[in-house]
Formats: sequence, C-alpha cells, structure tokens
Amino acid sequence: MSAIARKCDPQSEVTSINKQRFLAELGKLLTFMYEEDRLRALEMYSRMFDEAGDEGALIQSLLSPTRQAVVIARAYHSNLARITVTTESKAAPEDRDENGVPDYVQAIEAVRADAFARQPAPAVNAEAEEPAPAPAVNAEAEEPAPAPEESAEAEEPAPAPEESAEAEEPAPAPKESAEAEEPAPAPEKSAEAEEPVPAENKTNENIQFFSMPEEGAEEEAGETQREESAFNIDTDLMRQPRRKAKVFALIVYILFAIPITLAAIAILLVPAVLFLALSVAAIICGVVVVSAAFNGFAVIADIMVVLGGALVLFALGLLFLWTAIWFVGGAIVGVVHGVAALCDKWCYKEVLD
Amino acid sequence: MQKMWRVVITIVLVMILIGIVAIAVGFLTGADTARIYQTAENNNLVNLVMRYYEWIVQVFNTYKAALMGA
Repeated sequence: MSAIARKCDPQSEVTSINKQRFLAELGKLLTFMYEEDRLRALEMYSRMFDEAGDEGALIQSLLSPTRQAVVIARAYHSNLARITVTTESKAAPEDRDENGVPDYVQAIEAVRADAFARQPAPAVNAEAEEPAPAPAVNAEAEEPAPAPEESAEAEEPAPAPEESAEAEEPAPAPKESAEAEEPAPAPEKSAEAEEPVPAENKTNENIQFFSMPEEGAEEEAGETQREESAFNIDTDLMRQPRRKAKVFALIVYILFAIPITLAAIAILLVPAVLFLALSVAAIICGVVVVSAAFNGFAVIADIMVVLGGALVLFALGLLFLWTAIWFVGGAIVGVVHGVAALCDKWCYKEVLD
Repeated sequence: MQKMWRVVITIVLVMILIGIVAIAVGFLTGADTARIYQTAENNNLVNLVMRYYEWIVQVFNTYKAALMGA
C-alpha cells in the first residue's frame, strides 16, 4: 500500500497505530536482548509490516507481541540474554549457523514466511474488491494461480449462493504470484538485505519504532506485560530484597529494649505465679475434700454436697492453672515476640540487590 | 491459644455446673451444713485446709517481699 493510498484510506491511521503499538510492545518485551539485536529484530518486524499488504491481517497472523517475543526468546541464545535494560553492546559473538545468520533472525524469517503464507496477496485483494457480475467467472478471472481444489470449486456451475461467496473470497495466493505482483523480495533475499543495514540509514519512522516506549505507553502496557512477559518475571525474581540493619538504631534499641523487656516479664510473672499458687491450692483442697468425703462422712446427702464442692474446687483449679500457663506461654512469649518484631520494623530496612 | 481458652472454659463451666447440681441434690436430700462442718472438723479437714491457706499466704508474702526488695 503506497503512502498516498494510506493517506486516503480512513483506516490507515488505525493500521499505523496498531503497527506502532505492536512494535512498541514488542520492543519492551525484547529488553532481554542486546540493544543491537533488539533493534535488528524490530527492524525486521517493521519491514514485515511495510511489505505486508494488509497490516491488520498480518497482526492477526502474528497473534500478539508476547507470542513473537516468546518465539524470539526461544531462538535467542540463552547465555546471551541480558538481565538489565541498560544499553550495552554484547562483547562475544552470538551463535550463528553456517551462513552467519543468528538463530533469532531465522526465527523471525520463519514467522514472516508463515504470516505471508497465511494472509492473502494484496493484488488479489484489490481485484476482489472490484464489482463482479458473475461470481463463478470472477473467481476464475481474479485468482491468478488458485489452488487446484479452489479452481475446481470455481469452475463448477454452482448456483448456490454459499459457493459463490466462497469463490468471491480472496484465496491465499501462492508465493510465486506474490513475488510477481509485489516488488517485495523473497524472504531469503530480504534477510540478506537486512543484515548489513547500518544504524545511520534508519529512517525517522524506524527510529521512532525502535526507540524505547514512552512513559505513557509503559504505564498502559505495564499491567499486561507483568502478567504476560516471562522475562520481566525472571528479572524481578533475580532482584530479591535483602535486609540491611541500621546499626545505630539497633544498638539504641537493644540498650532500651532489654531492660524494658525484663521488667515486663517480671511484672507478668507476678500474676502467673499467683494463679499457679491458686490453682495448686484449689486442686490440693479438692483432693483433700474428696478423700475426706469417703472417709469421715456417713450420710449420703453430706457426701453429695462435699463432692459437689470438690468438683467446683477442681474446676477453679483448672481455670487458675490455665491462666498461669497463658501468662507464661502467651503473654510473656508475646511480649518477647513483639519486641523482636518491633526491632525488625525499626532497625532493619529492605534493599534490592 | 484462643481455641484452648474455649476448651478450658467449657470444661470449667461443665464441672461447676455438675458441682452445683450435686450440692443442690445433697441439700434437697437432707444434707446439713452444721453436720458437715462438724464432721470435717473432727477429721482435721478444716485444720488441713487452713494450713494450706496459710502456706499460700506465706508464699505470696515472700514473693512480694522479694519483688519489693529488688
């Protein structure tokens, strides 16, 4: 599609925005690559958009920037993956095949070939938009080199409207027709032509596409990228927080916390010991009362009253005993834990590695 | 800890309820307080309880004196 046609087409702006957005998001997802590799990959995708007849169909065939980033990441050599997003240049050469083409370039070429094979040829689309009086005849005239099955369908005298609709649809054109009608080179040729492109020859449009996304775009795509991008997750996981002590605050806290904690423990021990003594007394009294009930009393009614009193004493002894245990195991241990948690909050800070 | 509090309080309430029922049944079936006290005194039960009471008070006073001295 030429530039004039794009200006006249009301949907060209939408297509351009989609292309821009696709490349911007892809550029953000490819931050694990070296800068020159990232620029090269983005340039290849930009050319893919330029060569595509229908950019919307190309975006549909590419599915999403995340998928393309995964495809590139699989082909990109793992030990070359960068952790930070700084603009550094790689020092060691990457793995290449016998032709000197990196693996990720071959992966992008494969994506491109697949996308172009799926989407219809532009020339066929242009012809298909023309008014056609007879669908069957149109199908024969429009398709430059249809597949054998489709040509058989078109040649058949089919009065049914569904079949004529099928014939009107632009069938996927083979590579030969696309090469003949479009000035776009073959995938192998374009790969060879893309490699030696220096950075100085980039157009303003490409520079805009290859530059890092703006802050507004980062905020828009931030949420989706955190969920979708495995690379960002790996980067975040590698930046684990580390606790660092504030030495002065820790010393001051220890100086004050130890005597205060000891005083609090002593104060809490008083009711604990008191309840423990009460529980011991109640249980001993209960035992004595039970033993006396069966030794000295002769009337059953008196024995019932004494045993009832002993049961109440046992109940109070159990309650006091549990209260003493709670003072020791709950309150005192809770004070110690609280002091430790306060120390952790006041005297330590978390820093990222 | 919260669950244990519930369990302990439940057990204590049940024991107190059973004790109160036993005391009520005893008094309803002819128990006499004066006779119970007389029998307990004859068996040195009251003296025993009073000795335990004095021991607890003594322990408490010792602990209190130690805390005040410190």
